[in-house]
Amino acid sequence: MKYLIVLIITLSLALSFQSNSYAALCAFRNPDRDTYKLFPRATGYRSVIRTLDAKTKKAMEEFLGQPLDYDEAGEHTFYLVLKGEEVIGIIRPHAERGKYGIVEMVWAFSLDGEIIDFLIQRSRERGTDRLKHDEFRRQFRGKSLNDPFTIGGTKEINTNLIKPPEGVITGPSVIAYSAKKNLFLYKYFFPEYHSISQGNSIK
Amino acid sequence: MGRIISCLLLLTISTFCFVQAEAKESFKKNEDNFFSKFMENSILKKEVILGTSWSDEKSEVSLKNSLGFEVLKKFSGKTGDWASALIQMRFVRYDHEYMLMNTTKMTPAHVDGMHTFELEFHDAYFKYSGRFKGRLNFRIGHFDVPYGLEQNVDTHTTLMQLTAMRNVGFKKDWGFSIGGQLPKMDYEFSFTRGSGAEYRDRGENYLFSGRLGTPADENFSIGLSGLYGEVIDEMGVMRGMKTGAPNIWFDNTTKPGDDIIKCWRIGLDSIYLYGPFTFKEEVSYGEDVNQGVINGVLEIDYLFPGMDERLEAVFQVQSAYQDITASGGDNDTFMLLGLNYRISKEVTIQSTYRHDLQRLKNTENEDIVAMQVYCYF
Repeated sequence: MKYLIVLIITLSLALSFQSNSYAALCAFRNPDRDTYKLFPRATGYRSVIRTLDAKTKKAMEEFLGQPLDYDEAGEHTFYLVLKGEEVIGIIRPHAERGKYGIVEMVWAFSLDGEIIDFLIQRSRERGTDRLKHDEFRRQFRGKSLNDPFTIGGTKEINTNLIKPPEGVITGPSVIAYSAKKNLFLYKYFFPEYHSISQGNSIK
Repeated sequence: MGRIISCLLLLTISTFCFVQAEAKESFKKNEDNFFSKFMENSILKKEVILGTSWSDEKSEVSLKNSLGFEVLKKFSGKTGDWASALIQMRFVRYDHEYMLMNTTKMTPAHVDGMHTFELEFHDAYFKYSGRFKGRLNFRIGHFDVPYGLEQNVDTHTTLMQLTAMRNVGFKKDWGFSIGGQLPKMDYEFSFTRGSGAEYRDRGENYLFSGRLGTPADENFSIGLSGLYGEVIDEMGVMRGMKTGAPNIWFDNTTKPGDDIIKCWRIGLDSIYLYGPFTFKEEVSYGEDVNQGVINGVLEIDYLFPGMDERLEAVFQVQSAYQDITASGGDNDTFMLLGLNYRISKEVTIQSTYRHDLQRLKNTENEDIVAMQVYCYF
């Protein structure tokens, strides 16, 4: 009888929620280590979970020229990087599929909607070591949503904008496509930060 | 008492969630109320598992089906996140879920019988991180014993398991820990009850454990672990028994009271990602009371390219060597082949085939086929 009651409660709990949460519980392996590496002045960060609805998913796919992966709908986690109570930037962890599996990246965005830098966590793609070098990464700094990271409608890197390391094929495209995708999400989820000029603080 | 508390906790949480669901409209109208603020930065996932296995030696089908949920809540202030809490619970139905040792049927420690319902807490903890920038955090509740591969490999949802059961008798324990991420190293040290799934205080049981490792967010990571304690481990007691007239446990004719055995381990583990392959290994050495133990596992995972990580093959070998004496020791060695297919974002089918190469004492070798449908939404 006792277990029947518990089963009823558990079933009720499982069915009581109207909206589903599709996001993985944690796609960010080391929020602390990478946050303070990307933002040395930071004193803390605040998690923010946002939901990608059907309408925005469609708009995003039109922008990218590609359908999203089957597990990309739903909720996405961003981190507001703080110095005291002041927001000084945004961190966005993201895993993008390459040829052999996921490439895990951490993007750092400024309050002007530009890329500050990115870090690669785990990656199955060949040549990852060279993608971690500053020579490749610095080409992304200062870029924003209006920059053509990929050839229109494809996932292929635009080599006129970003020069990949010689002989490294898939990885640079994965990163460029991820940049484009996450700048779109940043703009959609945080429109208030795109219009802030330098010097103004947000609480 | 523990079950009553568990039921009350589940009732409280479900009432909380009912109120949240019913308050959805009012939540939208008034986003400043306490409930809506509390639900910010929370993620809820629901889980259904349908599992079955068949063993040629047992000649019967085992079932393990469950309904569960997990809630992750991050606590934030004006200066940032300062804590998190995670609760994973399952309501599980077990039928014929046991392993054979000699001819004795050994059910998991917290499972009371061949046909039973169990309410299980898996991860259930509060972690305080404060303003230490991740270098120091404090955790209290029920969590993975910080030892070996379990620190960085999620076995909560998988058919394939690692060697935690052979090293300490359980994966998670009740207690507290300190840990953190330093620039080049992750660490965690814990002091726990030594009783596993259920909180059981027999006065003498406890466990110290800890792991130091390179950052887990690199393609190659390595860790050094240790544990020492007196733990409640029924299977460990059985492994330490020599049948005879009379039976002898660890060179003593008295069976360990409350199934508590003294144990210690040191271990080395590593994970290496290379293209579509993932290599995992762990080896541990120690003692159960006065019997030497060596446990090891090697696992190779393969993601089939071009399939969006939907299809994965797994090969694993586990070997546990006990009672090391001048004349040799007893050995449990088996290999596993697994195939996992992710049908959709929510549904994964997992299957394994286990073949025993050698079993401890006089236990017959088994061939076991298992399958699990895992739903997470």
